[in-house]
Amino acid sequence: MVAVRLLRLAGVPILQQLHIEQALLRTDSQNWLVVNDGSSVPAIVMGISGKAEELVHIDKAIEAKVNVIKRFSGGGTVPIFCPYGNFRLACHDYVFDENKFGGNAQAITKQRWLHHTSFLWDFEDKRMALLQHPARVPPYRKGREHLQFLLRLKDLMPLRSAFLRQLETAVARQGFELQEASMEEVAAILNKEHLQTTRIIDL
Amino acid sequence: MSLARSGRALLGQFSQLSRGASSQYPVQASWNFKDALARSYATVLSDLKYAKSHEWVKQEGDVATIGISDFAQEELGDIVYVELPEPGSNVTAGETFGVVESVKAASDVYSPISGEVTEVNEALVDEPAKVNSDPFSGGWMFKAKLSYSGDLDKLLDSGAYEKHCESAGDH
Repeated sequence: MVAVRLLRLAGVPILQQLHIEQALLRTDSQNWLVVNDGSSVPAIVMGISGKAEELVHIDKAIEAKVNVIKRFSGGGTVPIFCPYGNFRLACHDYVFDENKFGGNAQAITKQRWLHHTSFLWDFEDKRMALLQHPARVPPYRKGREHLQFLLRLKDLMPLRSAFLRQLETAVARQGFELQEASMEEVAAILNKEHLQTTRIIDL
Repeated sequence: MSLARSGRALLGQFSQLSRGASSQYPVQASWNFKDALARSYATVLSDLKYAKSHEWVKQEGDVATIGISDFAQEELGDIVYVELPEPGSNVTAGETFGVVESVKAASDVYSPISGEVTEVNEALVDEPAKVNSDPFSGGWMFKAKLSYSGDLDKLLDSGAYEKHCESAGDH
């Protein structure tokens, strides 16, 4: 049975979470599952190739006092505003039918592979308005604006806590042995020298 | 580049996992006919040296030109972004010098040689897809003044690299 270290977080700001993920990717050799139940600080998170002027309504983001972060992995833009928390992958998005409820991205090194996912538990329409329509979109989006093709998981599942529990159960069912890790362990990993490129963009 | 299980192959593997509750992990990488065909036709130029991580080097005097191989670009899929080193910076053999993004994956790329970067291919900023369309010419990534020409002796020649690519598909 393959061991996977499980790090449960709640309300950790997305910038800090991404720093943890990049440190785990770059400096550790164990398998990790990091679950953060919501970010306490609003932010817009772009992929490594993201350009704020093309993806974000910058004046609105400044007015809303929302940081724009460039992360180390690929993929598109994710708004992190409120608690985030049988489907399929369509063009590497998580969808029910043709409505998206989660996005993902990867970072690949010689020895390691990282996959992170933002599940869309809930969102405010006005916050989505901070994002521009991206130039690159998957075909299944069919030209729809954000609000027309996104789906709130909370409308489909009764309890957020049950969803989080089921995430762990699903991993265990695939044959992995989950072993709880502490923030103290992760803090020691963060202190190791490593490449850290996730940062807040100066608007 | 990390392509023993390439970015695209890994993504394909993950999408298999995510399609239904019946998927059982671990899943063997599923190499379809199109992938196999692309691999068999990947171009390997005979006058270059190759790293196992799928970068190529062309040596002209004490200057080396570096890019990623046809096999690598094919495995990665459509490249939408290339991050290159700064001219004047130093690269080290076996260590990452930049990143390429394809699909939704950011993959490290590794320098096959040590040296000082003298020039980068600025055209890739606006046209990263050149790495796909012309990996050995228009898709070159950077040039460096070699610190130690012996680095090239540690790399694979074209014949050994072809075998390496074949074995990568078997894992």
